[in-house]
Amino acid sequence: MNERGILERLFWRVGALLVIGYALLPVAWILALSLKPAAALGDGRFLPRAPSLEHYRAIFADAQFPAALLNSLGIAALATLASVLLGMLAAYAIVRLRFRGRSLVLGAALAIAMFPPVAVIGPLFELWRGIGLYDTWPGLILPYMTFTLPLAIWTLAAYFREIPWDLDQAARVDGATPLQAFRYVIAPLAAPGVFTAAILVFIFAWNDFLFAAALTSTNAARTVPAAIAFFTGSSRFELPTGSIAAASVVVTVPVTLLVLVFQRRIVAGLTAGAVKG
Amino acid sequence: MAEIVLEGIAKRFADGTQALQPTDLRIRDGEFFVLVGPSGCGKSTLLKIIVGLERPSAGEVRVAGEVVTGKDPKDRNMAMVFQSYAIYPHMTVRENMAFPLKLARLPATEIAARVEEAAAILELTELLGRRPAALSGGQRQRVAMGRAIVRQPAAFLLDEPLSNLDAKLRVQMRTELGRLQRRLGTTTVYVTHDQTEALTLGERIAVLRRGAIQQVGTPRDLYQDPANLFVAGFIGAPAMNLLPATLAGDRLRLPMLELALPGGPRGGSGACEVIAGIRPEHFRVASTVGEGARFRAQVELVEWLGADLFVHFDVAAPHGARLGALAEELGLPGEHDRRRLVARLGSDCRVREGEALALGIDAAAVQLFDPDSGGRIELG
Ligand SMILES: Nc1ncnc2c1ncn2[C@@H]1O[C@H](COP(=O)(O)OP(=O)(O)OP(=O)(O)O)[C@@H](O)[C@H]1O
Ligand SMILES: [Mg+2]
Repeated sequence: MNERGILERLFWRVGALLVIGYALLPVAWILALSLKPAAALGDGRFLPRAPSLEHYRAIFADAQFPAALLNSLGIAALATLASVLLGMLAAYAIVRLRFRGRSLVLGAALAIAMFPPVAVIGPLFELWRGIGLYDTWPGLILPYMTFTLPLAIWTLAAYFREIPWDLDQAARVDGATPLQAFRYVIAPLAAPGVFTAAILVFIFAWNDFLFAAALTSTNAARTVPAAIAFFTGSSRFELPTGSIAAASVVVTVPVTLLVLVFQRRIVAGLTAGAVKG
Repeated sequence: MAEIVLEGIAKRFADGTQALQPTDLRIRDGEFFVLVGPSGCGKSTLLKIIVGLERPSAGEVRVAGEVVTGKDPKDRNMAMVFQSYAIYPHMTVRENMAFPLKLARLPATEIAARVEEAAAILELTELLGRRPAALSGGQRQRVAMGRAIVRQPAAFLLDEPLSNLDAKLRVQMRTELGRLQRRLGTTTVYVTHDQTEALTLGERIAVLRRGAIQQVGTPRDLYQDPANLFVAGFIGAPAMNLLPATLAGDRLRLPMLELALPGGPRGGSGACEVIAGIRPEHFRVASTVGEGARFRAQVELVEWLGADLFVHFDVAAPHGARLGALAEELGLPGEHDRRRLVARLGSDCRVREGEALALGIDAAAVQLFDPDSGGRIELG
């Protein structure tokens, strides 16, 4: 290998390391904090001297955190399911059907995505109180769905557009109902798009603090980001830093797992070979 | 297996495009029927109406005597091969071919048997486990055919199934397709814009132009007795030579010579403008014609194909509006005041580019067309 090639490789390696370090440093810091015993939290060291799991034990001992975790998982999963399912049908219709106001639907969806959530919090709070959705799962699933649906529609529409129309028609001639053609041919081909949309929606719902803080009040529906904000120390003179760190580590795990598992599915070029290209 | 009848079928798309004029067509049971015409003439639209993917704006489709106009494509038991093949990329070859049978809820053993059989016919047995991405163009084409034949459908509808293949494979697949259809005896409607394909495959051919059927007939009919200028210019390669001419009695005055037409003078006494069509093979090197009229052609281009020799030469002839429009539509060579003609001569003729050559015309084979309507003028 010549000198230039070596230099180039060095450049990319070092560059990549820098970027990864920059991105992961806060994560490492939180992880280190979560493993420090309460007394050592302020010792100014990066690595804990005597790692302990006491904060983890503490957050799971309290009823609040496990309940919040369950709420987070359930609400995010249901919102994702609903949003992706609706998004798929809407996107398919938008791409395949020629109906009046097709571009209007897409435009309106985008406008909703641009809409600042803060602006609806107040009215939503009143409304939810009035109709009994306050502090319930549907009370969070609905706004999450609403704000992620446009994203899902746009992502999925982009994928559907890549699928040749001939494939739907071939399936119809082969004896499929429109729904069967969608299920057996179109949906599998759009799978990478479905997973992409699902991950995006899940992360939005999982990370949301705004709605969760405003629209929940008890363990019935409070999700992890909101629950963390209500953590209290073991005494009123102590900041719950260790518990917050431990909780933060715990909430990062499912999202990371999700992305790792589905990353393999998000392979481009699944439609290769459908038509002569 | 079934007879397909179209009665007064017309199609107007929502945006106002009149893709099909009212059309009547009868495709016989077991026939290999070809729809041919230039791009955009409505061939695919007609096919999609037969298979049910498009609704006609007017008219009726009958298959084996039963009206199917409003029927869903899934209930018509027809198999279609798309120009793009449209094989399912996420399924293996076996799954692709089994798909229509699974939808029809056939028992698994029957499905396996039929897929094996179709695969054997199409020589796909070794490829059954592969995905479409790992197949060549010809193999994909065969998979698409396989998916059609496993169903034992009432009819095959093929939309330019060979146009994505390279020239050599196209000829090979064309032969195989013809053999397959004869073996299965299934009514087949084959769409193409390639007149050679149409002539070699079709038992009968319909020529379509701008959504209107120009002529229906056997390849021989279309070649020897074109109903109008469009069919005359479209069928045959190289194309029929078309020239403005004047007809007076039995004398046909062409730009380069005057011919005596056989069969004596025709009805009208006065001279009238016509368009004369001469197939390339109806030119002769003059010495072999003997007495007949001859003209000198300045040879522009010589194509030697072993058995045949194609000689291209120019004739000074302003073409009327009609001929000009037609030449443009069909992509025929020539400029506004010159016509480029082609003669097919025996390969023993030793003429070279730039030389002059004395040519005669087989007067009995000249066809005449009305310059206004484009319709054929019957001789004799
Ligand atoms: N969905 C549609 N909406 C409006 N016009 C259409 C539609 N589909 C086809 N057309 C028009 O109808 C005419 C016939 O189209 P068609 O696809 O049948 O042509 P074709 O003969 O198959 O051509 P090609 O050889 O290029 O495939 C064309 O002018 C086309 O633009
Ligand atoms: Mg077409």
